[in-house]
Amino acid sequence: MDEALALLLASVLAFVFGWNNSSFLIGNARGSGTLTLRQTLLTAGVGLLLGVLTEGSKMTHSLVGSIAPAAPTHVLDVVLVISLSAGVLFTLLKLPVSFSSTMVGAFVGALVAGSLAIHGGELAIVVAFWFVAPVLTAPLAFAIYYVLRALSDRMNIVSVDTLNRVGVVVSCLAIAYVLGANNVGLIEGAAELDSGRTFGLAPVLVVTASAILGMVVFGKGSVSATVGDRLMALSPAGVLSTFWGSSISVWAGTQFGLPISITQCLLGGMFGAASTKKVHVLNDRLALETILSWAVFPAAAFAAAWVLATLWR
Amino acid sequence: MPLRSFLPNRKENGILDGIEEHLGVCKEVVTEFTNLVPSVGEGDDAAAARHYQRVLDLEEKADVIYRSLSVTVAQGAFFGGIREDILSLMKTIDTIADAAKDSGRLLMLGRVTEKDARDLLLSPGMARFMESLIAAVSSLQELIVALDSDKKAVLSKVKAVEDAEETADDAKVPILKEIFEENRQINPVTVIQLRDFVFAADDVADNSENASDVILVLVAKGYG
Repeated sequence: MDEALALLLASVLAFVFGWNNSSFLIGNARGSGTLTLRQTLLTAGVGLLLGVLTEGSKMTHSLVGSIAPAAPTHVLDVVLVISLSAGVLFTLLKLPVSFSSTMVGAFVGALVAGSLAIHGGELAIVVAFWFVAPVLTAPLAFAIYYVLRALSDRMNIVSVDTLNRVGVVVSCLAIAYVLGANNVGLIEGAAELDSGRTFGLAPVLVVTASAILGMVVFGKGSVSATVGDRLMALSPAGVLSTFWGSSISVWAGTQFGLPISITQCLLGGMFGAASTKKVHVLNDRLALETILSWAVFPAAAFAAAWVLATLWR
Repeated sequence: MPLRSFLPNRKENGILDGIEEHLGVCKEVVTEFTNLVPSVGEGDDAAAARHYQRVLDLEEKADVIYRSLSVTVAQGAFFGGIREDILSLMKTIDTIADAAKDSGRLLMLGRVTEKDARDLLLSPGMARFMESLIAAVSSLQELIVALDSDKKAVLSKVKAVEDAEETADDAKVPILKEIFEENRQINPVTVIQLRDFVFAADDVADNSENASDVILVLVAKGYG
């Protein structure tokens, strides 16, 4: 695909990504009243930019070069088109989308349609990580929660308040950083390989700016709040440990070039933080829907990509 | 400029200081109210009017502090998750002064002229009840100061406020019994007036406990 077209497609996809994930990126800092909307958007924007520029390149070969040894450009075209369609559709339906699993599902579907080589072992590691990451996030959030509570117990009310407010800003920055590195990095990497040329700084900035724009324009839409707000009632320390634990898990995935959705990690983190309490409020139906979506998104993306790639050929 | 003004939590520290000041004024209202009661008992109308006016003035001063603090909190002090609790704490503290004022007003609405009724206001039981009200507010003051230390200290002070409220409750019961004592020569209107006055005064201790309950909520949320 032409570099400009690949860049345009990636930018629109990044825009939808920013839109869909705006709640994760800015929800906590805004909801807690710690920062103004402008300050929150600036913090999240800086986090996204830092993530893409610092570690985004680690995701460039997460699809081509990892799951498959090589792929013709039309396969990556299909990945971008299917991911964009799914992103727009589910965002309009106000449902959180796992962009990473959608892209992986679409990639594998397009490869299968073209009878192209797939590294089964690498694919298995990626899929396994989707299930392992939430499980790892739970004890991580549990441990962070206990550290926070131990600190809080020895602090006065104003110090605890300061800890929570600083913690929220750190979590806003951390979530934006890891989403920039892992998810925006994956989008940017797919577009780069699709264009057949290595992106310079300017195209990377354009894709990142699109994600920031999506977050800024639709930041009040709170699509991802579906998971965060309605799933489980948590204390400030519980929310912080969930988000910090999830950030660490996504960051760990990025180090190995493994695409991962923050939603999956957050669910594990929420259970980890909530398990510190004898009584916790869980929206069972939403939890089940979220877990099912982990299988449904890649499977649907696989099927749609298979059809599109077959027609494209 | 003090070093504290550069810290990120200076607004919150200022509000805690403000809550202490607000409660201090509320305690002054209660103290002035407890001075009003024996004045009415002694039939010293001038002193009673002076004390009541002081109650009104101090209660108004408490209201001004409360409104100013509420605006500061609403403008963005404290973490969003506890902002409502802090507002609720301040409002509950303000109702302590309101209760003292309302109880004082009940005494001042109609002159208490019967000897038996006046004796009741000057009785040792009434003095004990009045002291227990001040003690409840003092316990709450210690609890507010304890917010500057750790959770363990806060919880022990919460218990102290509950104990003070129970002491006030215990002191109230014998007074009510005396009010309804058949042998006393008090006309029914005065009986109603005294009963309502005691119930309204008891709200001083009840509202102190309610304020400590709000702090218990803060502790449950990980604060304190």
